[in-house]
Amino acid sequence: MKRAFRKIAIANRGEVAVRIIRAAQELGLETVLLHSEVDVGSRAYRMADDRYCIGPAPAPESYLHIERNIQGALASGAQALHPGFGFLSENAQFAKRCLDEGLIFVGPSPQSISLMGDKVEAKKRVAKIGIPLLPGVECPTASPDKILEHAKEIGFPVMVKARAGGGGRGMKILQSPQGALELIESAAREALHSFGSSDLFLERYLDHAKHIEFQIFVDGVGQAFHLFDRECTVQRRHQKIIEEGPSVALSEELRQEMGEQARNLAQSVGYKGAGTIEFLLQDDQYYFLEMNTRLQVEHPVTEEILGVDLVKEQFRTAMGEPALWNPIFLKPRGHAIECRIYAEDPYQNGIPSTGVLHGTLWPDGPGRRFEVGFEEGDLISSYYDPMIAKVIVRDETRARAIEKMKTTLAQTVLFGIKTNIDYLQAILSHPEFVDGSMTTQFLERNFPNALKREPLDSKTSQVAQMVWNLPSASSSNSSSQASSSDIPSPWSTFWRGV
Amino acid sequence: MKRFIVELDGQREEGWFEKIKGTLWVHWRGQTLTWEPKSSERKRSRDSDLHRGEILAPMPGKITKILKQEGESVKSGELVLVMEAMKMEYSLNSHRDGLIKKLKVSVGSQVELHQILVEVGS
Repeated sequence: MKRAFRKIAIANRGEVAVRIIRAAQELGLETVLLHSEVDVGSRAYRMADDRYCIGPAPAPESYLHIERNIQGALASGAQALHPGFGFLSENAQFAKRCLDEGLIFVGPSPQSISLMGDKVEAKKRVAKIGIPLLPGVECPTASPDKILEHAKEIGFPVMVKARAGGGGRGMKILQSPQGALELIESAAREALHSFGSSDLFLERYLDHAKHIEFQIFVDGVGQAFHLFDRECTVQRRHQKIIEEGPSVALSEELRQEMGEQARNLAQSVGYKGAGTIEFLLQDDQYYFLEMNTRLQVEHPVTEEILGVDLVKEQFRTAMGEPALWNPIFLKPRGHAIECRIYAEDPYQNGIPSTGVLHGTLWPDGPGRRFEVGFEEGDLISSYYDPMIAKVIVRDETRARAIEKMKTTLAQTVLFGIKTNIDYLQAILSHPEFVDGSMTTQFLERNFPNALKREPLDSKTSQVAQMVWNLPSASSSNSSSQASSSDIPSPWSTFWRGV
Repeated sequence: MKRFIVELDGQREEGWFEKIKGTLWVHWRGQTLTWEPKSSERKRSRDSDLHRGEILAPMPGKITKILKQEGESVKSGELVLVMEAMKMEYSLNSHRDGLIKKLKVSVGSQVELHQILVEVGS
């Protein structure tokens, strides 16, 4: 059924809001950004055709508030809504409220969202179509003692997880029976606090696995595609930091098999639009992890290796149109890597860095892509996720893509806010990352502490001292003008404003 | 953000910099660093001011209140004057025991960063 719409509401912020606005603009759609009070200083705010303030900075009063988003979309005359990722993007109630009010939800049906959002129900579906699952036990309302007994049956190490959960909360690894009871109780408390239900389940814990996921897509006329794999093994506390594709860990046979399984799963649950099936892979054996019923942060990896635009196809799907892809051309070309740029200080254990973003420089070039949410003068606040941008590169081989990413990051400049760029560089240079053998324990094992700042070498301090003393460097709040005789210098200096 | 180019042993190298609130942000040889002048005159003068007992303006602004007059005695930590900057009030205290030797400003004076406001002597 074809359904046209002209104006689209965006219930999100930052770089993904920018990404969605761009796709909408290219399709000739009008956009309205549903934003919080603090996000008036952001790129998406300036780019949108129309803006509607849905509440104060704290997310529960704005970006997570279902009725305010609905009201904002309706009041601004939107006929459709894109939820982006995070916030309300996997909230079945929100999707349903959109439909109730006659808004087209750019995403799957509320039924698909709630089916795959219930991790235990999802596993039952997955088992039915023959996708391998990790050995596990579902234990709703069981006492911690009973859960411990089940854990012993499965064998240690074992993971206890929240039934309604995701994102690492309500998730604990039990290494042995010692101390397991406390961890189970703690997981139940976290689950209750985060998801409103203390129901837990147990799963075998894999201690040298890779995180492999398949992008799936079901278009507006029901054609299901698998758009190949991404590897997101580099994670810290279940937060992805670097993603890439295709994975070096998959043989062509395994890739074909897993891709088909992912496609079958999407079709069997009547899915619509973009989704991701996540797997763990250990010793060439794969296990279903979960399905994400939305666009992923790392979707540009797939876009770059296949030359597709997933967000535009999401819109076309919502309009009831078929995807424009010819399956013959859906073949990975080369290798793509994405690095998430977080506003945090890697030399202080990743504490968030907030304040005003000053000068930025994103060094453009062939095969380099920047997804940027904030520009000079914008406030990076502590209210939201600290991801401010993503850098994506593509080249013919993985080794070349790594070199391209390192060069690109070395030329990227962000002033006024500390970022994780030095941390990303350290990861990209680590032998385990370079040879592709890293597992999900890679960061915990190799980067357990804050990066250590080397003392400045003498040349660098000389350059800094010299730049400090440049006439053009003096700003109104500095009176320091060291005389040039302070610098024992073989250098000659030029400067110009840019 | 501004560009700088240095020439080292005949090699030209490029970098970027910006001074933000007294801190220098430098992008140089693929890394972004923050730098503050440690051994520069600013630090040196701050130390010697403490020693001499001068009270300096911590930022540009306007003097709004003077609590001590020349010749009055003052204790270390005691409030001497109040200034206003960026719509906020700042209390300026003496760093040492002594007498107000010289009062260099009056109420309403506009002052510059690090301008000497009061000299405290023995």
